[in-house]
Amino acid sequence: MFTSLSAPAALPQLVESYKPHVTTGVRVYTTTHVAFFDVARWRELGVSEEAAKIQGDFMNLCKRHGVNMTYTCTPYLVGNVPHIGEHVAWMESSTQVYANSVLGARTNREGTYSTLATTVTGRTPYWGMHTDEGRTGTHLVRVEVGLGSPYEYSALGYFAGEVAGLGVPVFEGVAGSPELEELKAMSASLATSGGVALFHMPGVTPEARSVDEAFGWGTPEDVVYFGREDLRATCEFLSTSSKDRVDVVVLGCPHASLKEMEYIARSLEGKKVKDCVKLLVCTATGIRDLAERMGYVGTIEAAGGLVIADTCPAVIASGGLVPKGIESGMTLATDSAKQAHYGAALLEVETLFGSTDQCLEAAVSGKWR
Amino acid sequence: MKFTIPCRRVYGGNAEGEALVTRQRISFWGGVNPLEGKIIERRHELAGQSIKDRVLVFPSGKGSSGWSGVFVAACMLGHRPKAIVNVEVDPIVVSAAVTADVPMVLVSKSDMERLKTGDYLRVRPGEEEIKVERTT
Repeated sequence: MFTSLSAPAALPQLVESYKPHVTTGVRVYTTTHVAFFDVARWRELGVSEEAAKIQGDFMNLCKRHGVNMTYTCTPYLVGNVPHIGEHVAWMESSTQVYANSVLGARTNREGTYSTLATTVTGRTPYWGMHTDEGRTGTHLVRVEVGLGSPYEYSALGYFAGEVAGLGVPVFEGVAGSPELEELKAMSASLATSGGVALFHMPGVTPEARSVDEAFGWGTPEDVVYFGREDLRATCEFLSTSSKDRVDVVVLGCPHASLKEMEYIARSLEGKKVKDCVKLLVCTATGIRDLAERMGYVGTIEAAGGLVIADTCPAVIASGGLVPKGIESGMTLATDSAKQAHYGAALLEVETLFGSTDQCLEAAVSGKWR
Repeated sequence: MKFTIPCRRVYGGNAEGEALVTRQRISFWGGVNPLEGKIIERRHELAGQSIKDRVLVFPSGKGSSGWSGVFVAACMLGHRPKAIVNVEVDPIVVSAAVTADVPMVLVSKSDMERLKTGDYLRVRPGEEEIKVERTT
């Protein structure tokens, strides 16, 4: 499925740049962010020997030094779950938001090398998100539309990230109780259009019990409203394609949870993905193992989809590799604002952004409705 | 025209070069192609522009924390910018500047708004100022 065609690819430079920092054993429990391709199924996916060797050698180096190679953008789904108030140093922008906001742990927006420095020293600078002051709300987002599925929370996050920038948005008016998958989607898009590290949603997130407490009993810098029209406009902005024909469908950004794998499998039971459409479902290797045990992977792949672990199309392309079957100018449908935003640039595709159901229906019919 | 604006050192020493200025935040991962050193976020106002040898002036980072990895890879591949001038500190940008050894300073929002693409900037962190020369 995936081949490394473009040369020179950025993969060797990226991996080389990490190596000098992995010189000694880790001092703290460490899991890893995504890889540039599925490390278990690389051969059947058509990755070149050369690219596989670079990634494989690096994985072995890290394993020798005690790094747990989870290769996922959702480490909190596979055994890295910090508790409230715990100081951590995480990279991967959506996990930073999820860890700070939903779990109440404390991390700054660490980069590749600062995170590596923490693994070998066991320390991270005490500033920003590690302090109470740094976690005070800055922007109030009044939600005036009912949100009922991950893609709508993804749109809300994309809207609010643009407004808040590096600030701390506080959400008021979200009806009901969003699910893990919805908070996961929102965490990703807040750090796509913006550089958000933390949000508060009193009643849902653990740190602030009221809007007033979220702002430290102070006044927001700015107040914005997210209504039905804003939801529609955000979805439209993330859909660059004017066609109704779909070539590629990508689900699992951030990596699908077991519940999402179950939902996708149930939706595809007895159905066939249209011949001219590629359906990719991305997840963590630990989740894929469970989904295999439960028969979800079998159902999705019997329908003609492909379940990939460790990575996603945008990440594959970011390493300078070319995801086979995805060509420049194609139309890619997704329920993730993050995949739509980055896919447009990295995969050079036109995008369609909508619900998981719309995406699955498009995979079967080849049409966007 | 010449003028001076104050700056605060985040990392590194003196640097100078032609400014590439934007009011929009920049994501390096998924926003810059490290092989070509060009901005690829399609609807960014700097889309298609090269970062090489420029003093990059933008409000802050945004997006993926793979920022520093892509920045360092771009530098290794020969597209090193001369310096970074930001308004707000995004830790992922600091991680990039330190690792790639590219000087980084902060300016106020109103001072950033005085800068234009094409200005020649002499970044002097020790003197806490940027000397600006505008020929056009």
